[in-house]
Amino acid sequence: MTPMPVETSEEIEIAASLWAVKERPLSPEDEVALRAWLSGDPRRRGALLRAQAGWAALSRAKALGPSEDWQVRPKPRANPSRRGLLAGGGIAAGLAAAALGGLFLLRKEEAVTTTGEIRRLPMSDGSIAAINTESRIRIEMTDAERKVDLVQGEVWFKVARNKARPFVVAAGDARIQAVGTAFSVRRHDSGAEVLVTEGTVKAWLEGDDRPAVWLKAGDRTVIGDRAAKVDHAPDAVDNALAWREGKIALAGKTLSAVAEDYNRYNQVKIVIRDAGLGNERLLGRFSTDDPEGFSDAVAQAFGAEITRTGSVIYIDVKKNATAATELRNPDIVP
Amino acid sequence: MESAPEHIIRWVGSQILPHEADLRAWLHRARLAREDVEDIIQEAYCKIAELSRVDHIASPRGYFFTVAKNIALMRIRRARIVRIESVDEIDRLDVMSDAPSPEQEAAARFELARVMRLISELPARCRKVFEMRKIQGLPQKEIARVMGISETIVENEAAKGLRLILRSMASQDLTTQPNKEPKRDADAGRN
Repeated sequence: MTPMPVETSEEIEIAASLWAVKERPLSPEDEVALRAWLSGDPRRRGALLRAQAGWAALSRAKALGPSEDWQVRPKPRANPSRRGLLAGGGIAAGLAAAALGGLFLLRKEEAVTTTGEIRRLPMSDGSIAAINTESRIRIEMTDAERKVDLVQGEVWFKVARNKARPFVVAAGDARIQAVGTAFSVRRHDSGAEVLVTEGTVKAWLEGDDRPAVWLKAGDRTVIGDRAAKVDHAPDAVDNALAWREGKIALAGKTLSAVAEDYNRYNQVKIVIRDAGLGNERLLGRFSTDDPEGFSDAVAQAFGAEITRTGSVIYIDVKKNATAATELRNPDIVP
Repeated sequence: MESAPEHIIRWVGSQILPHEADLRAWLHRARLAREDVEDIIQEAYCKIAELSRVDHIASPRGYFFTVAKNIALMRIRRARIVRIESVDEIDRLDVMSDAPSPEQEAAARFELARVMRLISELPARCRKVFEMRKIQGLPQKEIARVMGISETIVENEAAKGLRLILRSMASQDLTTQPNKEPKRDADAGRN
């Protein structure tokens, strides 16, 4: 027998899913083949259990009684007799009726994040959205286009390649279009900030005569009232997207700017009371959800004074102390 | 070797699988590499496949998390270079403090609305096969006849549908609202 190359977990997953969906009872030949398969790589047994469990759990959906979720689904024009059928009839019949009624075509979705929440949202076309704190998007998938309306906040998109269905993000009047690429859009009062991490995107202001700008990986720009200026700054783009890992990249920013960043993510707000201290520059990366730890580290590094009152952390210079200008705390400097 | 008994399969489907997405997120919080997280989860299922009874497990979620945590620690200790920070991170993962909120509990169930949405997102042929098998409960032979395709293709499509649904369930943020009808007015969302 020739030695088997090591299977990837994906190969195992595929084989397991095929075994799981096979009609039971298995034929005697399949019984033998399944036993042989299971006695190979030890990972197979776990993968099969997972696939069978999923298959079984999906069967249970058929047996679920009519639920409220179910009853809100018919579109306003769904006829009342169908609703009656859904409430009283077998759920299998109900689902079949719903499929005929086009309810399976629901492709609109809204996603919202609250303060400090960062959410990864896989979209139906295979693209992924990473949604930053205090943001709201509306997704609309049609056969011709994939449209995302960034109502508020910031989102990074990893776009699944599909030339036939352009992927367009609207942020106010700003439009950002991509085909198989990764980029982020953040809404500011002055316009939409676009950062590109992979591929190329095209961005323009709707209803404006200026030509669209093209951005490639590492580029950033702001699409707004002013003419868009494209910067190539891969490090800055990378730092600006540290939130995807739950981090704030200090990256030479001033303490005031970093405090502002923190305040995007937390109910507890940091207030810098001394302008000189606010201009100090910092390096390293810190967790977005730890304003207390960050403040303590700053206090230690600059010999500053912390006052906590309810939901505010005040940072001020210590009286009679000379502020250190260097961050010594190893937690801050990587 | 045989596949797990029917009651274990059903228990895993209703009590373990719905927590997989949370477990994955929890392990990611310990800064483990993606491949490591996937391996750990797979190994946890292997461990569960060895069970012959589950009535002694009061909290399936806690059990699942604890099994994964132990596997993670074992793997790290076995590694040639021990990353102290990883051990520390995993040690600090508190199984009990990760109890789900009632909303998460609700979202974790295989709700009809959720299952429907997942099915609706499958590629066309796959969705058709999946609906006939799981919703209408038609035998494979019948589906093949109706759709004019071979039974092997029916089987492949069903398996693909299962994989896609499991995958999107497993990567889904459980706080995601079960896909509601989008509302038109601006203040329609959560406050």
